[in-house]
Amino acid sequence: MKSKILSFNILKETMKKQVWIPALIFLGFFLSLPVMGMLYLEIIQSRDLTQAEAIEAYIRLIAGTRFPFLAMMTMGSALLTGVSSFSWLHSRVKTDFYHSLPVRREKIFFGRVVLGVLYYAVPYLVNLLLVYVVGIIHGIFQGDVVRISLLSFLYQCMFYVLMYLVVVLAMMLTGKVLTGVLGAFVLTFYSPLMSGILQGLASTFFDTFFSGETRVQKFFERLSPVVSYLTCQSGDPFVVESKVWIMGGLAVVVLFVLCFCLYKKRPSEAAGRTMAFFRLGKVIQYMIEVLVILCSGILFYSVAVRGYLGWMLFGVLLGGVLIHGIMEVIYEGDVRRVMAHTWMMGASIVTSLLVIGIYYGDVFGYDRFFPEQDSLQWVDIQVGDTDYSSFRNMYKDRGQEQKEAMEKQARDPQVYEILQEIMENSLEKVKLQDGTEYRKKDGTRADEIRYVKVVYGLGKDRVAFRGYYVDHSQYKQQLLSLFNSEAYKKTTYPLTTMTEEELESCIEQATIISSKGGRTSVFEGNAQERAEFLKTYRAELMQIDEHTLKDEIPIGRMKLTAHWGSKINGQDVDQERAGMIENDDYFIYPSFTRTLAVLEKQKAGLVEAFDPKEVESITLYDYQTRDGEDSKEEKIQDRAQIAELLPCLVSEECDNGYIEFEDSLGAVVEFNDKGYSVTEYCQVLKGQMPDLK
Amino acid sequence: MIQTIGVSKKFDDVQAVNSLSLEIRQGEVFGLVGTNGAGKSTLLRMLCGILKQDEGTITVDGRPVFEDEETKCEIFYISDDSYFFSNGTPIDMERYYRQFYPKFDTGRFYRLLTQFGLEKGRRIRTFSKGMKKQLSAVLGISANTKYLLCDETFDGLDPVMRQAVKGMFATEIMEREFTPVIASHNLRELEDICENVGLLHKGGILLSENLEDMKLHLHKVQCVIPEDEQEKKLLQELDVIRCAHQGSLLMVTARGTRSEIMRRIQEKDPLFCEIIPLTLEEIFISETEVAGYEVKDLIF
Repeated sequence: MKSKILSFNILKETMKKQVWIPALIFLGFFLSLPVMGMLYLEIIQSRDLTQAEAIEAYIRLIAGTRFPFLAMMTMGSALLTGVSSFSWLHSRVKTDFYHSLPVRREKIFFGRVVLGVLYYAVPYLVNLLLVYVVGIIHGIFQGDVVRISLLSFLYQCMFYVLMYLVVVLAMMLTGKVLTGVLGAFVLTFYSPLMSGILQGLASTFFDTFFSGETRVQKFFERLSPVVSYLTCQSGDPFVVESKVWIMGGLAVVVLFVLCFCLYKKRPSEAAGRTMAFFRLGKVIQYMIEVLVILCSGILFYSVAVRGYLGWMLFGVLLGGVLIHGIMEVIYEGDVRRVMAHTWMMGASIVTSLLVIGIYYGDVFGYDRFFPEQDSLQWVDIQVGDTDYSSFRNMYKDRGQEQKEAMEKQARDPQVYEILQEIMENSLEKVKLQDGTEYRKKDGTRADEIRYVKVVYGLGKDRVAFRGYYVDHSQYKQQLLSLFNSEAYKKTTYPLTTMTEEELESCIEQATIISSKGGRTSVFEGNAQERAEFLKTYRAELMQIDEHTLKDEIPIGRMKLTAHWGSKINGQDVDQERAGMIENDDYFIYPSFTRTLAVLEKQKAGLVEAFDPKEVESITLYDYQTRDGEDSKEEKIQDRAQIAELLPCLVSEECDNGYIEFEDSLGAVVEFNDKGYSVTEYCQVLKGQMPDLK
Repeated sequence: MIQTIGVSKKFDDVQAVNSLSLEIRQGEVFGLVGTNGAGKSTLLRMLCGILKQDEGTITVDGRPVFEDEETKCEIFYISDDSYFFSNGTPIDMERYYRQFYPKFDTGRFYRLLTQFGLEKGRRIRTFSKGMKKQLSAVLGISANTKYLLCDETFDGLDPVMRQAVKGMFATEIMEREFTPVIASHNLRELEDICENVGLLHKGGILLSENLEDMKLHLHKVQCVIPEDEQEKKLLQELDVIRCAHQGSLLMVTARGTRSEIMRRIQEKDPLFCEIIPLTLEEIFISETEVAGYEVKDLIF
């Protein structure tokens, strides 16, 4: 009993000295929740939202989704509280004071940790109650709000404790406040940074590297509480996965035990030193040095004009000397000791070189990887011009029907064969003075390149990402033949697998873009009519094959706009996914007669080709330079020549990636469109350029 | 009783305390003297449980002190650089310490504050160095612990306040079980208050004795012995610690009883012979010289 009273008194007395911390946190929460709530609710109520929409927005505010304030409060509070709760350990005078008192160290530790949690939780809870009052005033407070906000409160608290304990751990490991703060950043961001650097090495040296989210990469990134927190924070506030609770709870326990053991083990005389534990300090120094050396190597290699490995070596050596010097000055607190412990510098440089060597020599056969067909559970393929788009719109965003299609693809021997051929003959990346070039195995340059992104599903949640640069002129037929497969079309076009309900309620707009002049028109009609139209379109889309893409020139394309917050193919449509849906091009081919018939009624203005009467001029560009000459251009205004030329011109709007064009010819068509002069950029069909003389 | 057996403490490569064995009996005023870096503060910090010894044992009243709440309730440590809460007042410090020291005498604290002329509501950061030292001593006395460990507590106090603090200690010793352990290198300060002295040097203890006994066994003599042969013989016979000439006057610091030393000198037919009382400082210098700490090397 006496002990309990003493513990309470310790908490009380300690809190008196730190009352500014909860006061500051309270102020932050006050601004983030009730004040922000009042401002926000006034804004959303002025937007004529339905009651349900207003409640949802209100909940999102409380849960911190789409609002950075709560996340900033949680992260900032963790740093502030963690540092101020244990900064006394970094002062000899204060350490002597607290450790001379007749209190066991575990009581001091527990007391401080408990206070650290209360400093965050109590102001948060009080402000949560205040924001309820705001909700009641605005008439949008419902029972469900309490449940979700309390769930969110616990969830925020869990991540707060996690981040707070990481800061405490840094304070335990160090002996100076500044190094403690730096240490907190190192502990927080080391693993994602290292993961990023290793990815950088992979993208530098591996030809087929494709930055996906592998389990190992995910593991490294999630080791950072801040990355984990921000990842979870961007999710659905209404549902928190049980594995988040379990993993988060487990991490809290592990960190707490670790901090406690270190506190017990930490000698009082560590105050004022850079690192409290010499050996552990050296391990951390080594880890930081390797990270920075690798980073420096990549930096020099990437900024060097040519892909000369010598620059990477230079970066490694320079980075090694610099970071070792900096670390030694920080550790030793003496500039004259800048080159102390050179063995550590040597070890860091050798390790970094070893890591670079592993990537450079592709010791583990990254580029040679190709799964056995038996082990391939599913495969997702995406063909594009560039590798800029992320993997996000691939396997993870697929609905059930698309997943089944991916499984079907994996069992298709023809698809497997195509992939194997692509893998074996993918282009090699060569760094040149003016950028990166992709070359064939025989060293010759590939003129037209396609990027094939593949995600191999290998079972037990194991996935492998690969990106192949292929010579399009050589593998065009293979890539086209993928369109003969229903499964490939289902994974390529999300529209094909949407349910009728999704078509009606999730797609809020279908925009038709004419191939001539790029004129756009929005599909008119109500949601039901639009859904009917989309069903008509997709029925015809599912009929396309390699011949359609190769032989037919699209006369327009369609873009879809999805409703935020809805679900498509069973997946939430957030801002990013809505953007990806909008980026998809749905080409309209002349053979889509039923689709065109519907659009005809809409007066979408889709026509197969330019009307020669409207065309005022055609400027031809020949980009092929000969003996130092600049590209040539020729303006044609002769009606006969225009009429002869027009059938072989195709608007760039219609480029589906498979129509063959002349490599070095381009044309700009100027035509009169209902009194307006319009300019259209076109390409010339391969082998069809007439002789205009 | 405070007892240390074979206690060692190392900070990185520096051996701060080396195999130190010491006994501080209940009720005595123990002075801990030593050269700079001798390990006085380290020893005190170990005695009050701040530092954990690398080797050896430290017990207070038969119990280990490190992480033992009950034992530590009987020890109050006054650091050479005491910590006070930022913006804290003497009242704040009293309230804080009261939570941890069950026998803390609040009434005594305020009485002593008044006696020392310290304002209870004034911010401590506005106090002078000496006032902070006084406040530390007042807090230490008011904590009512059996043991009070003072690290350079008298340093910075003016002579009047020094006497007042000493008087306060004397009163405590008379009124209750109280054992102050005072570490200082100001030997004159300790001389008139300490009964026992532990002399630390390079982390080890050179001697730990009653001050009066120490003075009984170490003497400084000045004499004039006319014959050089006799003088040489005398120096061989005595356990000489220091020896110096000032003209024909021989000044010797030697171990042994007063009667024994005097007898040996008288046998050499001196023209003049006189025993001079040794100060603690002289004892300290003599003993540390023996241990290799050459004072003369430091005097330019």
